[in-house]
Amino acid sequence: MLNLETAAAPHRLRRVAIEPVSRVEGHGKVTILLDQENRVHQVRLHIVEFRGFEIFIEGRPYWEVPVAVQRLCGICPVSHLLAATKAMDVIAGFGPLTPTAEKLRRLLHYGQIVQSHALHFFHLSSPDLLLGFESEVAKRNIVGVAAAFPDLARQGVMTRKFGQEVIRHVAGKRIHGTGIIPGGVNKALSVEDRDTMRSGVDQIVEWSKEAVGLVVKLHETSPEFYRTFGEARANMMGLVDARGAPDFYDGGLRARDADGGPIFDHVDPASYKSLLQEDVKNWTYMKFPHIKALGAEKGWYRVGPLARVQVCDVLPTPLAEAERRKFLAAGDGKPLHGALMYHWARMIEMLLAAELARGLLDDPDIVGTDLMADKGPRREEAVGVIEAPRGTLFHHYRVNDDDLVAYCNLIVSTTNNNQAMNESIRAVAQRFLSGREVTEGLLNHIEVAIRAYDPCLSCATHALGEMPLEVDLFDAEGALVSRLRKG
Amino acid sequence: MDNEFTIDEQPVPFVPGQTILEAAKAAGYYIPHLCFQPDFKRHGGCKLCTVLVNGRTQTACTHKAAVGQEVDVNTPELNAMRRSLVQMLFIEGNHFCPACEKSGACQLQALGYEYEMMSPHFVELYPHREVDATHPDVMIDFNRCILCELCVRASRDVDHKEIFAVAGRGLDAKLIINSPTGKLGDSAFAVADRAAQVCPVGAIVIKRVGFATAIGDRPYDREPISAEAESCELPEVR
Amino acid sequence: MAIAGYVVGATKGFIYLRGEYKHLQEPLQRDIDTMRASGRLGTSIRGAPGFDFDVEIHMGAGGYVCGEGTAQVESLEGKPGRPRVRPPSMVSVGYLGKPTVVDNVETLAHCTEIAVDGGASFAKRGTKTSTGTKLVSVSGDCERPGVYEYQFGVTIGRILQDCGAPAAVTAVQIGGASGVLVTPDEFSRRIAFEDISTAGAFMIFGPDRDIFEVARNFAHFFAHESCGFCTPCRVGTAIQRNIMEKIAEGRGSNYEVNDLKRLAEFMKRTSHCGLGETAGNAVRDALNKFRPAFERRLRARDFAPAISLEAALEPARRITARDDADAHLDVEG
Ligand code: SF4
Ligand code: SF4
Ligand code: FES
Repeated sequence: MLNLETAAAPHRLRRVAIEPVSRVEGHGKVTILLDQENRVHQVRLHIVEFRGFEIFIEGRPYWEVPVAVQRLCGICPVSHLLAATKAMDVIAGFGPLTPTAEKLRRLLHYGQIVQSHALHFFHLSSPDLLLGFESEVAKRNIVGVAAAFPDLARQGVMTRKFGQEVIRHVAGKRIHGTGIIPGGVNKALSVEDRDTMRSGVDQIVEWSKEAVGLVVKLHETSPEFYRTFGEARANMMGLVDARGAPDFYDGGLRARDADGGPIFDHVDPASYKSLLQEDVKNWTYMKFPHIKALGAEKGWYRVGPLARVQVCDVLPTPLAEAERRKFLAAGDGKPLHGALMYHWARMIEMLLAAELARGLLDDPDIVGTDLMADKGPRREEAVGVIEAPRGTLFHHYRVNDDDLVAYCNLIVSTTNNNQAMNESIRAVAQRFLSGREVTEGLLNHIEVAIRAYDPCLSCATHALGEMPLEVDLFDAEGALVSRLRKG
Repeated sequence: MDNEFTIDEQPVPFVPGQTILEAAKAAGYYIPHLCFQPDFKRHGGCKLCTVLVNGRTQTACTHKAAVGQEVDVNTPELNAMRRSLVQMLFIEGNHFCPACEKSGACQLQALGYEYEMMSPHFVELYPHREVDATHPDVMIDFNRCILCELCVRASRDVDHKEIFAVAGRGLDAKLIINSPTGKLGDSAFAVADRAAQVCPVGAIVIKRVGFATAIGDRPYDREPISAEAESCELPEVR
Repeated sequence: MAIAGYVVGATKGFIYLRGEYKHLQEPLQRDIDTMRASGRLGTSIRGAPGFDFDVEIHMGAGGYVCGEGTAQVESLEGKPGRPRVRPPSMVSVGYLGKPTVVDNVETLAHCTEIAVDGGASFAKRGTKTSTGTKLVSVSGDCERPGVYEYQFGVTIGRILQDCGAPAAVTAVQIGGASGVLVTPDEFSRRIAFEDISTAGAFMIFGPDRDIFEVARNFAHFFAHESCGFCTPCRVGTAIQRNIMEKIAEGRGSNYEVNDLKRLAEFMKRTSHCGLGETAGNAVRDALNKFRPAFERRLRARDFAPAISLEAALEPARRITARDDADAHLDVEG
């Protein structure tokens, strides 16, 4: 990938040639800049992000967009499908969805959260957590976990599979389904499919609960470490419903500051532009959004599981709510900001999604056949927002009279989390860098921090959790003093 | 023995005047085609239906069947040629199948599968082409037009409107629209026209239908294109 | 033409004159008028009752492909010059659906010769299978380019000698862009149907000519002249041109060279008309006979990517309004 060097002295730095293979694979790259005293001055995570998509979609017919977007991001296609379709519901002129259509979409979304969180925790992160950050790289993967903790690994795989099956039943395919269309859904759920899922869901709820228990146990081994690793005090944002419970699929935007104080609440996501400002920086193609009212310095925020379980007032299902209370207790009433706390929050969410899915599978509407909403006049502009597994996802479109997209703006979860991730990596670097050398240990710790956020990098979800990563260390003069890479 | 010829060594009867393709179709033998549809005047431009007639390459959709002809259709060499043709049609336009609403009901894509096209092979030309969405009910995405001229023929011979024509030479050959502005919206085109239904690819599409039929439930998702030997019609479901 | 008309029973003839020869239109029309005035065209030609024949000049806008009979008739009808599907052949369904004979001037001129002197006299010239004479239109690197008339069977060496070609000719392209490329070791070959048959074009490439460049020009020519009707020629000629360009830019490899060969064969077998069928000949011949001219330009022997990574980053730079040094690569050699 491009070597986008430090701002201090970019002209003096040697550029690294692009390697086509690493571009395709999506190497993660971190540069650390030291100050005169060899302390960490600045840290930057460089990732290849899919800007340019907006340009691609302009001039295309609006009904193509929900399918096109999920194809362009292979990591959470369902999230893009849902966010884009929500926008297109409005553009196409549809009224409120039928109960069956909305419930099917929600079921799809919960299925996706279960599969994504399970993948993330069991396949990608549990090797670090269970086997140790510095355990042998060759064994630090799901295969290694399976050898050491066979039951756990099996549960992880099965839980993820359940999520995938939900997606397949609702969207038509495990990935890249087209079951969701503007105005509703194009396929009713059969009673048999519902029954199949219903018969498996209790077990999934049970396993999800055990997964939370596992994280809790891990934290108990070293609470201080878990609480403070990669800690970055941040504002937090997420969608909540009228009761103040998190709403993965819909709802109003709420933000709280690092101490839990209110910033804004129940704001219609369609007006996101009045709340958030997106900055462009000269060293990366990724945008940096922040809360306008607080300014660029203080306005950056966190999204995703760790933000969601802390901006809400309650979780809507009993088991998950009980777990949330335990979680809050770990912070003594204060919000938690450590990177590893993401895992705990994530497993609580997996439990929540499983419980919510169970509720829907018990709801007779889910096998209803009234799938499409009534259609009114077409509209010009819409914003579709959902809580993707990794955090808030915005899709904003304007469509011209000829039905072609005239404007498109996306803010993906990873973009929302951009600054927060950088801050966490900085915290890790400050704590674990000694001297002027990138050690294996430092590299591993940085990797663990990045992975906790679950950024939507293909490298972060690399097969068997092997994340190609390079860490470069520059001194105050801008000279490269150390480099280490893996993968 | 009279009025019989062979396809891949199998005897096939024909009615005098029939083309090889028509006779094959009547006998349930699949010969690939893109620019052929039974109701329209013969064209012979896509060359997908290329076969060997007594050892010489011929287009089956225009070449008349004759007594005693030995026709080869399904040979590795011919199939490789067809794959090259499909690859050429792919790289000539901009075919982003994953997001194309015709996917699964598109004959070009189906032929790509049929002839095991694993890559475009040739360097993509990535032409700059427009979308004409000026018509209220129908859209043309020129990125996906393969110049089969079915719409030209349907509009001229069935709808009697002559809305489409092909202009330009070589790679510059392109579909044009007969209207004061050159835009579909200013033409007499109507969604009920036969020409709105004949496009074998995703170039002429009815607006706002999109993915009403889920991918996976589409005709060529269920059966390969070669299974349609007898109908040769465009699949019903879009 | 009148004779041909008499023989087949036609009463109307067209002279198809390409736009490039507009300057010939006037003198030609004058000749026609004279003939009509002297009773050699019109009704009851030379007093023979029922021998009616008249001629009209048609200015064609068509390109190279209009040399193909059916494309010419299409053009005559005012349509784009695109070859027709055969059968039916021209002699049963031609111009405006009527039976039509399409021949070139040279053939018709020979008819007159035969009509006047008799077939036996005509057959005396030439070889056993190629009787008569042939007009050869010599161009390129020689002292006396022009149109020569030879008996069939003349050697290439003889023509070169007559027109004052340099001693060290690199090659001769016979039969125009669609023809064959002939190297010095083949200069004893003959112009005849049984050896090298040609419509008459004879292009000489002198000692300083780079055959790769010659082939590249031909590739451009075909990409430009393809009528666009059929897939293999429309796209194939463009691919051929692009590959030649890639090699010319020094980014080619054996992969491209092999692809060119495959392409020539493919176009030959699948194209709709003679243009496409022969569109790969010039490049293929050049490749077979002057391989070093290609090889010298190859960058790698096995494979070189078609895209330039540096150029591929341009859209990203545009989108982000960046053009600083870090947004560029320094790997491209
Ligand atoms: S028209 Fe056919 S080949 Fe082209 S993009 Fe659409 S589905 Fe693919
Ligand atoms: S628009 Fe469709 S039917 Fe018309 S020429 Fe193009 S591909 Fe053929
Ligand atoms: S189907 Fe015969 S050439 Fe197109």
